[in-house]
Amino acid sequence: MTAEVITPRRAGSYPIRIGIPFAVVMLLLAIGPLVGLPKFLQSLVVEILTFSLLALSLNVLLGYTGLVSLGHAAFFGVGGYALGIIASRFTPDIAITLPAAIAATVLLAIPVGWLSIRLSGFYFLMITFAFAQMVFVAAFRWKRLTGGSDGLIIPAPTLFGVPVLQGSQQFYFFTLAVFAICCVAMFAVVHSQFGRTLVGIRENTARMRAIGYNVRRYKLAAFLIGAAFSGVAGVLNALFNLFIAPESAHWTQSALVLVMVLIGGAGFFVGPIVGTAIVIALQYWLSSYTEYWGLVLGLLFIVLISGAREGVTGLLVQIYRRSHRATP
Amino acid sequence: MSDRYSNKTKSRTRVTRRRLLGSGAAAGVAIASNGFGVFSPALAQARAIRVGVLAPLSGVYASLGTNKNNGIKMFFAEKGMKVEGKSIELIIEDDEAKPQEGMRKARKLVEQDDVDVLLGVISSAIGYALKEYVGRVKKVWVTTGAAADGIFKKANNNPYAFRSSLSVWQANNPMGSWLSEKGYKRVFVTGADYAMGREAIEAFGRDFVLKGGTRVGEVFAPLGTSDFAPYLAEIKRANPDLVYSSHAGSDAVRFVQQFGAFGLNNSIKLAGFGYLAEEDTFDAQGAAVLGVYTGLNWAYGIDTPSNKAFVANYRKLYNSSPTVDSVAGYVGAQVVWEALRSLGGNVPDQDALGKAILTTKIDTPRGPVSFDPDTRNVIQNIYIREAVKDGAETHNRVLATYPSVRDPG
Repeated sequence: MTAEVITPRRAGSYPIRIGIPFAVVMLLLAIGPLVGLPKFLQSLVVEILTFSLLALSLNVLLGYTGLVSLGHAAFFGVGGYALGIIASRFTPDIAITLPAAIAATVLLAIPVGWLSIRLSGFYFLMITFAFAQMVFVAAFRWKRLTGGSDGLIIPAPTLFGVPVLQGSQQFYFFTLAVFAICCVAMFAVVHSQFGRTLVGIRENTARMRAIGYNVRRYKLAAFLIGAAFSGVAGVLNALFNLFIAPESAHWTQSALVLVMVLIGGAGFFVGPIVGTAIVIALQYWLSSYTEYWGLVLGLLFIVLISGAREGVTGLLVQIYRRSHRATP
Repeated sequence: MSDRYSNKTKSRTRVTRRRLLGSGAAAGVAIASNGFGVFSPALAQARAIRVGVLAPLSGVYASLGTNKNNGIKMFFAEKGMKVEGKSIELIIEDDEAKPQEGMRKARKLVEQDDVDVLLGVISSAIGYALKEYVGRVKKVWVTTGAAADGIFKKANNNPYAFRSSLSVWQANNPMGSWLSEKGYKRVFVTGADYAMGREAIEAFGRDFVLKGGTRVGEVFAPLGTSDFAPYLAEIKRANPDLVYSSHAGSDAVRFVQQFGAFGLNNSIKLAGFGYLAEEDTFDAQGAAVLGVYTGLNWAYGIDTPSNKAFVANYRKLYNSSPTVDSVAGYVGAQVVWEALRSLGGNVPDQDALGKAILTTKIDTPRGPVSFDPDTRNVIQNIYIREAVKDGAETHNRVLATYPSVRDPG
């Protein structure tokens, strides 16, 4: 972990250093469709942004608090299912479905978090994994509510009775906006006093406890924040596909997100975004050529884990620093 | 995978996935060129008719997907990759049998490759999602799988989505009446505990009970169960004269094997949904499968010239028996081809293509095939089959035929 990135020495300059490129990328993505970014690539960008959000939310736990969760996609699934069930049974109005789905995710995260943060390390991983399996089985078996293994079709969203987010273009901008807002919010959280406390807990839990921090409360808060943003990602994905299936909550989905974060670099705020873009783009392009695309992804993962523990982002930062040191 | 099959540019485009894999460098080049080609417009030459194929080529359903694609490729190859003089190009993508990935590939085929028609899909979950999608983007899709009843109902009928394979109801409902007429009275039903496993049992049970049979018990095992002993013990206790099972794939292999090993097939008749005893499970099931009754829309032993020719050609081409999935691929391709032919090899617009498919009536290896305008599900024969020894091999022979079975929707 590069502690420097997470607790910047020159407070104030770091948000600007990362904020400008972020704003540039967002701007480029925003004008993309206007200058002829093909429709299909727009859908790919939507997917990358949605899963980036999921990976970022996991990184609040993994990178900042040091909690390795193998069940994070459960909240992604719960957010999607909550939206789908409310939309198909009550109203597809996003003024209701969006907040309600996110609220449902957080409500579920409270007992799960309360229970799992009591454990750490391997046991935390196992309990989150077990919880994710429970969500998956509920989605898979509770046919009347969730549609079971066939999945759930979600009616197109409305806002105050008017159909919204119909075209893929509209949805692209909607996703971009939600992503930008959530990114800024998460960035603010992890760079606040609260975020630094989380890093402290990651680095030395016993010491933080000795100083007088209520470690469990902080961990629970981090857990709930992670779950909430994971729920947002789930909602976006459900609205994008207008469909949700149990696979969304499967532990392999959680593992894939973990891989995304680690490939990108858990020690950097933008790491998960880089990792998600790499994994989804690779999966998409490679699987058009070979059914063994998973092998390539696996090899990349092994190489990165053994050669570059800080992920692709860490590699890029190192290269950047070296080139700058060479010409002082 | 962008396995582009076309007659015209054979040397360049007849690159199969496997051959590409054989040479990492070639794969690298191909990926790179595709990467740069993303923004470039489609080839400017006279445009071939593009058929986008979605099938699981990795993951647990990979072998089903491969069989399906074999059928599709075989049909188009028989027609010289042409229809009314226009060449046909196949673009094959791996849907991984997962909705997220499958929908991504569907969007790629429609929005990037601009295919004229979509073919394929095995997973019912992708089927549900894709049906809504093709309705929104108005693209004709003929599914060669996705058997869940709910996908093609009167209530969600949509002019662009067709099912040329079958509905679970179609294959299982006739079995209920047939077995009851055969004199079986007490049935124990069992299957895999997921949507299709239960749907099949329900479709069978309704008519069986209506005709005077009784259900003496039911048990559902999780998908991928390896030890059926507890379930078989329960069956033994209930003392039925018939067991009806909806197991498929590796579950079907183990269930039939263990059913035999338990000695149940001496006193109890085993019957089920066609996938319980199909060409791709026979080898592993061995002697235990002999005498099992199943219902499906195709049987290896259908005694018609078109089926005999199909089986012979398939065996020559792929050196293995066709399965119901190979036939599904073949018939799906046949439906699309016939519709294209009736339009003179052109696709003026998607509505015209949809109408052409709706009015298609063809003779296939499975018998006559047409579409029900109320659901756009296929109307076809259902065969009651029995697994029998045929020389050194095991195959299904036809015991009875239910003609023109139509899903009520």
